[in-house]
Amino acid sequence: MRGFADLQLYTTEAGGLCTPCEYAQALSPLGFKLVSFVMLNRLDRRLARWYRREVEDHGLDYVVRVDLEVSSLSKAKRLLRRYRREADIIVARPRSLSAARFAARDGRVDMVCFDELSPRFDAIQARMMGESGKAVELAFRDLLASSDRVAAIRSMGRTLALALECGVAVVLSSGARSVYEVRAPRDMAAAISALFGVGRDVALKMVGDNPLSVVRKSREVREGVLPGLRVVGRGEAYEASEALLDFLG
Amino acid sequence: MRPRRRYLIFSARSPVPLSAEELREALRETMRSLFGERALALSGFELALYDAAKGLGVVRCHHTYVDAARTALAMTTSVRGLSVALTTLRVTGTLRKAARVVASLEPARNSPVRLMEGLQS
Repeated sequence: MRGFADLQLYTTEAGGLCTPCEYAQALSPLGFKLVSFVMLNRLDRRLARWYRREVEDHGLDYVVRVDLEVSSLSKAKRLLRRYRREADIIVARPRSLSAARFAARDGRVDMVCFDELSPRFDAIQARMMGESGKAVELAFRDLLASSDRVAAIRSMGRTLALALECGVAVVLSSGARSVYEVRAPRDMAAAISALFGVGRDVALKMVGDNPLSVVRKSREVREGVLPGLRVVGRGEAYEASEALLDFLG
Repeated sequence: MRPRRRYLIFSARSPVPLSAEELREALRETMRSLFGERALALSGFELALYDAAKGLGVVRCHHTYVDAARTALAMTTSVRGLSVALTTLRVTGTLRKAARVVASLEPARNSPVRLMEGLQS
């Protein structure tokens, strides 16, 4: 699938100011193909169905996303067990250093988002995430709405530099609370490129290939039967299976 | 050598119509705060056209500063204390072409759907 993805949007249900329909109207003409709305520490199936309906009406694909605030490891493991099979992507928001390390190691977590309550994204974290193939999510809103834009640019620049150095995939989302914080993918990429000296292609991947790849990989794992095996189609059972069953008695 | 210019056509989404003067000042301020006075001076960054009724405008800059100009547009979040979202729709090489594109668009203000439909047709 080609196109762009915005995986972090806040609807009125999650403390934002706009409905999924308003977001879909704003995002669809900008070239986005995938959208996702934040559900913090829960997966509301009724809400997810409503989101999907609203978004698909505008020709967008909806990704079920669950954000887990990881403070206690036992609670995080319980929530992971509960939601992993149902959510398309699981995003960890660590609240302590040990939680961040846990999120980097655990195979059920797809992305890690370092928000204002998270510990700093450091070199060890970057190395661990690079080795386990985890993506780090950055919110463009941090640059737009921060009361201290200088600090926001510094922090994002540090995270970006470490992630790129350690081969961690960076996913750039808008983090929008309203449609006024939604930006075109090429504008976000241009801003990242101009502010942090990142190549234009690399910046474009952050809003295109990287999020799409995170979602594709996660869906493949969910649909797979064993690591390395996946169901490519469904149909009639292979005719030899009956003979095989006869043979086995 | 005379620098090559680029014209960025953008749409402005805001709760109330914006005046060209207010928008020009907000854009210059964003450019200055992000890239400094030197870049503001050397980039040739300027609001060339603004149609308040349509919510469409054109920003001029030198071709090496297109990303910086795009960034300034994207990072402009408020004018007169009101939320605003500026989205770059297209980049052209001449003002005439940019003006033609702006004239060809007949969007309802605040409706990017209409804007992009106009561009694709």
